Amino acid sequence: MTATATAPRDMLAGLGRWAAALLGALVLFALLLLVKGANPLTVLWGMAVSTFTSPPTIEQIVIKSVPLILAALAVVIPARAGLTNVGGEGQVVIGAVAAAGVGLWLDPSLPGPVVLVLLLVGGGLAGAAWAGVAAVMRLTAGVNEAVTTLLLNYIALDVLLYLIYQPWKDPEGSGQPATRPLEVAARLPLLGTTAVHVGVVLALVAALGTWLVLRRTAFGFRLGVVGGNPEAAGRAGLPVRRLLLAAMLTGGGLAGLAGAIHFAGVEFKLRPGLTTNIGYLAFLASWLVRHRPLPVIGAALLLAAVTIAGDSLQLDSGLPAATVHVLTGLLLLAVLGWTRRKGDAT
Amino acid sequence: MPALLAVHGYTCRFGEVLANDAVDFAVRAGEVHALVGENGAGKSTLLKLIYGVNRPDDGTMELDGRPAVIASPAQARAAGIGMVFQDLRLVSALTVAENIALALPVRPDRLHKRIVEASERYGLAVDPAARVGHLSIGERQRAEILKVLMTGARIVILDEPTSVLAPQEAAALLEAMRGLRAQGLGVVIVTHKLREVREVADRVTVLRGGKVVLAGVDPAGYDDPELVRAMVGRTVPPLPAERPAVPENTSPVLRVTGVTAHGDDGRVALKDVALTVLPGEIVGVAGVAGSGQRELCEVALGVRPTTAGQIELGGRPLTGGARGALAAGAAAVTEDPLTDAVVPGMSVFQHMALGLPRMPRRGLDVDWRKVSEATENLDKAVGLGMVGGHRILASLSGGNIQRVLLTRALGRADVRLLVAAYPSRGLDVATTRRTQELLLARRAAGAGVLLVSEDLDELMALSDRIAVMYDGRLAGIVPAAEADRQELGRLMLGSAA
Repeated sequence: MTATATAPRDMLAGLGRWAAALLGALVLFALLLLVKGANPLTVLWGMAVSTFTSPPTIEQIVIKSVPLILAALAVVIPARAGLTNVGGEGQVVIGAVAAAGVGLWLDPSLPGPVVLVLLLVGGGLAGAAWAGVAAVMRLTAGVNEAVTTLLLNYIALDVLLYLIYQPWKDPEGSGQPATRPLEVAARLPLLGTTAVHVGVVLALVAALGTWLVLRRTAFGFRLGVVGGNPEAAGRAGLPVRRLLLAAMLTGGGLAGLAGAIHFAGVEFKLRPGLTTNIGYLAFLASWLVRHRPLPVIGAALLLAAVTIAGDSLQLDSGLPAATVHVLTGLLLLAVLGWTRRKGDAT
Repeated sequence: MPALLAVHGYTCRFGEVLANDAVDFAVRAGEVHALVGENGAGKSTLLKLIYGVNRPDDGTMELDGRPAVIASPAQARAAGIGMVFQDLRLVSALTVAENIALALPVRPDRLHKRIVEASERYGLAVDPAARVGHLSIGERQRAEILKVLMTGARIVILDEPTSVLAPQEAAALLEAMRGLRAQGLGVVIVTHKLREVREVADRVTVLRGGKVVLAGVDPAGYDDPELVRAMVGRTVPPLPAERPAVPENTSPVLRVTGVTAHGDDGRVALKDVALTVLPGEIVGVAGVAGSGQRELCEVALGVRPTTAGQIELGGRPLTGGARGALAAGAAAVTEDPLTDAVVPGMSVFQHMALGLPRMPRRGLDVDWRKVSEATENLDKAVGLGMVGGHRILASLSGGNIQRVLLTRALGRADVRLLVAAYPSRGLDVATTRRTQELLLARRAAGAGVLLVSEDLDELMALSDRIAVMYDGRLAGIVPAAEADRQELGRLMLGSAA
């Protein structure tokens, strides 16, 4: 009855809590910097200046956010059905592996765009299959998917390492083991004169599409019912198992696509450490905004910026880049802890 | 002699709702005082104010004639006010003695003796060494009352204590209350059931809309319709006695043959049960809580697998689980709505969409306009005064949630088998009556109804036949017209008929 009157006030209060949470995280981070013997003000200012004032770093942030958005959606969709997908990292790796595999296997004389489309599709399918393993174990043996998806991350990493050290190793490569680079014609094209590849369009479309599917389709509604109360969903005659499987496969597919895009837009070859924790950062991104598809874009940009700032931190202040993980963690804890609304079911 | 406890002008406001409006209430030594009223009449609020859970906005309290302030349950207990909640506050992994020890610091070697003494003194038979988890609900209740008494309560308040008991157990509880009265204690019983008011209460206070309508009067001076009118605010007509006969020689809408099934805990919860429900028939299911009623409903609805036997809906073997049952025309009012039917974050409309036989579609989306129309039609046809369609279920009270689920299940004309478990649980007199009328309307429209209830009066008033369950078996099935409370009670407790 008073919902309309209080909505703006609620929104203001919500913004206030967000601001307080972010500020709190920064203060704690500043304390850490003090302990490490650095002047927090200069460090933070330096981070901000080098991150936000130069167009190349802004482009880097956008590029970095692309796989983050997709992999975060891979958390969002299963979460709607009540599933916890911690396996973004592994699904990204497998997506990149599949994309690389498609690139290596296909006849090099095929037109580049065809190869590109096929490797993106291959990456998506591989990610879906990787998540599907966890889904099937959950549905047949009742094994918690949070555990299996996490363990599958390590297996995915081993698959990657095996391939680049053994069968797929580029014989002409020197130094770090890696695969033969992807043909230039098959790489993701860039947007205009920028350094940003078209993957950003795919990521934005995916976020919008996810929002539409969850908000405006019967499928999305049913996923929400399953996530809200699986027992009630089953009693209402919904195909609960099929919906759980679909949510997991869709999520895995998006994470796989993230891996393929990262491969075809940034990396071009498989190498150890290829994903730079995309899957885990994306998991945080999704939690930061409580698994809502559109705000995920903002969270991904924020985390991308923090990560890029971490690199400049290392260059400018001589602090280890890992220091920035502390800031990421603090951000997450602060936001989850302080912006939690009463009655939220997280 | 001053009253043990008296409150004057207690007023309590929650937002715009005046939950208690200048309420006067008193408990004397050596009396049983019944507190009755509809849902939302303010009974729970009054209890919470007395027990110190909430503070009144206005009003005063006297204990033994002296002004007193109770600011917390701990203070209430210290002042001799004991509360027996509906959800008994006992730890089921501990024994009765251990539970009492939690509330009462006594040396363990003396505790056992003290419990036996108190148990004899108050006529509340409880084995101190028994693990609470192994006790029946009635025994647990006795243990809880004993705990309250041993911690020094002089005023014992029981919140709807008989709603979960078999008739014999309820009778034993009322007898125990008379015993407490004889010991000079003040006893308050909150109840919906006029029968209990008549059996045990010396005085009755009726609340309606937060106000006292009848203040501590002798119930003998009023007949049942007068008391109901005081509670509801209008006359509630009796259920129609004239009902269409159950058609003979029709094939049953539900036929359960030799069905065995496991409960959630893995034990056999349903043993070789055979039952039919004809179209246009209400089959009541009686039994002490946990005798297999839940599992019987669930196998009929296809949501619980069977290990033996057959289920037929509308003459065809039930296949395809819940979907199959829904397709065969089944609808349900579930026993435990919060676990089985409610998606907390979703709206009334969204719940209605789930309950419609075919979810209306518009392109890829649910056709929410059609859902909204259907909801309006159901609400009109059912007339239970459901809340608006945009309300989120998590924000509703138990009674309002039940109204939503009843509207969803009882408003549809295409239902052939209605499985209704405790449909009037948590509802007040007027809504209960409307719900019962709706069940009869479904019956008249040719649906078969499987009705589980803990209220024998309700079962006898509505059912054509009453099936009694005991320990997962069908202990007997009797025509409602010939049923008698004692006989049903004996079957419920498993004594051979």
